[in-house]
Amino acid sequence: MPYKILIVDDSKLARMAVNKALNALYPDWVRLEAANAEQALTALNEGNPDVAVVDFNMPGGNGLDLAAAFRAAKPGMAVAVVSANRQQEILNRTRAIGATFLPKPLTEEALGDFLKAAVHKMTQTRS
Amino acid sequence: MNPPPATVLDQLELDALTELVNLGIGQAANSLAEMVRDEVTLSVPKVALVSREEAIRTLGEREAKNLVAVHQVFEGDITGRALLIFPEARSLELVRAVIGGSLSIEEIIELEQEALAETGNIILNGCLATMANQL
Repeated sequence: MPYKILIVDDSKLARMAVNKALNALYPDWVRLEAANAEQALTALNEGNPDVAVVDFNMPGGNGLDLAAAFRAAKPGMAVAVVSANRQQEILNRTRAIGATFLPKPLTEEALGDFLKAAVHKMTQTRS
Repeated sequence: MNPPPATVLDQLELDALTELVNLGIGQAANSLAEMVRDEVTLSVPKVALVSREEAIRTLGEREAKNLVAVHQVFEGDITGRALLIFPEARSLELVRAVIGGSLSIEEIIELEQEALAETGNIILNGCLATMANQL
């Protein structure tokens, strides 16, 4: 069944990259897009997405804090933090909040693995 | 006139710095190759410690007149700024290579600034994070 995904990135190019990979992986999924933390929180409350992909490096609030807020608001939600900043410290912090780290440039394979695991988890919870 | 700053580091230290830069640039090239879906060839890196004046002079002598730079500040145990500089004439070409053939020229021009910033962000971040992971 189609799920709803929230894509948060201040860069339109980066959002396009996620959309492109989604077109190949799950073309029927509903997409919500946000260019900053404020829009993202509105989309979370109003759109009620199942999965979120959040950029780490954004003006006015980093993606880790936002991902943590998502996880606090919807504990079961699968959240990925996306960044080219693959420092061990950031990988550790991502893991600590129960999110998945995906390196930029985002590949279809990496996004696919994350979404597959998310779908698996959601199917188990629902059945 | 400042003394030549190259004397600050001995040979081993310079070698270590070169290797660190090599790793960072390697990751940056890797990221760029993934984005443009093509091989990126790298020359052997050469590290030089130069004064601001010399850096400006070198860029002015070697490079095209109009340059585009993506600028990123980093803070932590080491604080500084990284610049990714390339000829302006090539920037649209780079954007086109990253976006692929699916957009019209108008759409590409509209996206140029933002696409350059994000491409620069990925390249510089990949480079800096790889270096930071070694420290």
